[in-house]
Amino acid sequence: MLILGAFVLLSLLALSINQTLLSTQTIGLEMEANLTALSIAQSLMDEITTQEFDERTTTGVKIYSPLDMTLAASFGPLVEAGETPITWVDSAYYDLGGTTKPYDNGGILNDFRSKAYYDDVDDYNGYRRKVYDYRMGYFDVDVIIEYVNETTPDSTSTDRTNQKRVSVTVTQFNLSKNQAGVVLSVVLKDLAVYRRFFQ
Amino acid sequence: MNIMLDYIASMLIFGILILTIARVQSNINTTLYLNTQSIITQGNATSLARQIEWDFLKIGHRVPGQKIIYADSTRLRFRSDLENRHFIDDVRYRILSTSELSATFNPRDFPLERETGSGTIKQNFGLVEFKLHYIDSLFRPIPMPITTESACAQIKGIYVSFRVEAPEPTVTAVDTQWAAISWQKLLFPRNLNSLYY
Amino acid sequence: MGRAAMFVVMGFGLAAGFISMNIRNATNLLTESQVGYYNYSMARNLARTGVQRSLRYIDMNPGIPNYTPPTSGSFNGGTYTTSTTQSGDTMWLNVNGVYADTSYLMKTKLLKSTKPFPAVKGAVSIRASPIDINMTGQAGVDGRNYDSSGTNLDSDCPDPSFTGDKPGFAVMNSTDSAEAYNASSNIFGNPKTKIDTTTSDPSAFIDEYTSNADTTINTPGTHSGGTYGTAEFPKITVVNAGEDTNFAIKFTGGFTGYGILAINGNVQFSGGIDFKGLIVVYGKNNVVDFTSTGTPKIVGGLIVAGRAANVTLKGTGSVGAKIAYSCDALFKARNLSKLRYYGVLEWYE
Repeated sequence: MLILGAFVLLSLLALSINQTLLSTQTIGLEMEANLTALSIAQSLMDEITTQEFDERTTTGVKIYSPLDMTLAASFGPLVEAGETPITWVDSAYYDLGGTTKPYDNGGILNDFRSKAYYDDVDDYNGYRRKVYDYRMGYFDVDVIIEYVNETTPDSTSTDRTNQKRVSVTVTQFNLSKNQAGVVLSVVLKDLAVYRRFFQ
Repeated sequence: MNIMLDYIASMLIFGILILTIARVQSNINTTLYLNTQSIITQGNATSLARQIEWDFLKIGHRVPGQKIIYADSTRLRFRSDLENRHFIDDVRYRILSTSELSATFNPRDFPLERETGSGTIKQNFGLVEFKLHYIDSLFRPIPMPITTESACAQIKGIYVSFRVEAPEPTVTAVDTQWAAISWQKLLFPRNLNSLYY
Repeated sequence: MGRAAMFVVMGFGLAAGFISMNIRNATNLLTESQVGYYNYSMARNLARTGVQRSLRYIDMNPGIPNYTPPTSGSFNGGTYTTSTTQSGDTMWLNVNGVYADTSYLMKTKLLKSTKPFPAVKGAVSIRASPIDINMTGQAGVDGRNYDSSGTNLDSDCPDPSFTGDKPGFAVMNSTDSAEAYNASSNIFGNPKTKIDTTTSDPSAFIDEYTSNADTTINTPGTHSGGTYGTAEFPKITVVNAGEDTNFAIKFTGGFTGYGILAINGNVQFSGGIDFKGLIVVYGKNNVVDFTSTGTPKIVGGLIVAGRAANVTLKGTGSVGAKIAYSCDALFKARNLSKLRYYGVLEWYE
């Protein structure tokens, strides 16, 4: 009887220990995924904020009134301005003599198309990207651009202002999850501010 | 006879119990070990990431002339007032051979050498891969190596990617695992671009 | 045996529990490390946001001397604090972004610079052709360099690009040069008239002036004069009569001012004008009439652009209307507060 009791106790212990081991490994992987997602998001954020503020300013024209800026409804690349919209999910890949692979094996890098096609911040509105990581696989990236109130930049503005909020969201199934098991995306936000004269 | 059977049965059951405990203990040990290696690896990766960001984002700060001296996929030499003390440092990053880290069990890892005016240090982050790529103001890659002043002046962004592995493997009954982590980031040192972004 | 088994299992349970605690602690450390990196990235973004917003606040308040932006702000769940130090035209702006328990400091050095200013090539620079110059009475145009009062000749100027006396008239071609030369004997300068096609096109600067105008007069009809700017606080004044020359803006009272005066269309200063700084006539159809009793005086420079230029100078006094070149007056106009901005000289992070 005592032996049976010992087995029962051992079973409970083993279950509990295995649960701990599993959650530990899960957390380790999630932290790794979070680190990668954060770096991906920050890279894209920096890429966007180095661009011109508005399509109107890409040719050196200075804007004196927010009314001259692009309407929020018209955010995105302008076909009329000769820009090429990226309607697909942008992804970098290596061309290995006719075959494409997501990782480098001595091939020719075909970088993200946004770097060649986009020249101002709001071109990235609605932009989607897939970034490959050697260990984690693909990360999905989404971008939203919005005008914000200049005194309270956490609030969006229906009017055109000198500040655009850039929101970059990275999602991947290995990221941390809440109690309901829903993936917690990594979200970065920053402001692009228009100044006519900088340097 | 019955007593003998009782003894044999209880010994068998006890033996099974002990074996079960040993197996669970083995799993715990493996996980503990792997967890420890993972923590070390991720800690190293985070430290290296922050160091690289700290250094690279200051490239060209208060440098009146040539900011980047030499650049290729595993080496970078630049000038900067790193400490903001009006003293221009000549900073060099390069990777060394795997033979320089023979003390670890990982045959692929190599040290990263960082040289400044204060001295040279070899850092063991467990790097097994370290690559640098450079882009110009139109996000176009610049062919490497970049050695001339005019070519170096085109560099506006640096794409850094590395992979860090644990110094020791975790050997289990079925395989050998190396805790690892990859990191990649595109950096835009302000002093190479317009200072407005 | 049963008791032994129980003891073994309980002992194992204790050991496993202890090890599990260690594993859990180690995992917490890992989580803290990664969360720390996340907080560091957020704090950095906040600091950058703080710098940009502070610069924007400075831009929005150009008329306030020694303006300092708000010392704190918040965005995206974090905060930033700013501190500024000023010395002359240099400002040091430090911004500390804080997210959770992590902070990130960015240090910038800003230098007050001057926005682009049109190049004045003579007392009267004309970027239009053909021209029609009417000078009667004792009216005169003098390209020699005067001080900012227009009273004394001056061989020096605080503007480092100063090159000495200018022509009385700078025009686009030889026909216009002859027209100007023959308009009056009261033209002085080095030389009296000169062909110079490098006079700035004022249209490149007008948007800046109209958007930053302290006063805008755009109602056709008669206006009394007034004072538009002082020596200590020069202003930007825009007088816009429009493209239709049937509509005119006429100043019957004295028009006094310092700074920049931008004129478009049919404008008459019949009550006299005393302006020190830059006058830019920029529209397509410009008829500018400085006709009055007394001695209308423009000290600084006059730029006329458009399809054709029609300039009338008339003075019934003993001295007559006078346009005198003054590098000092132009320098003061160039440096009025709304035409200055802080450029980023250094950015340390």
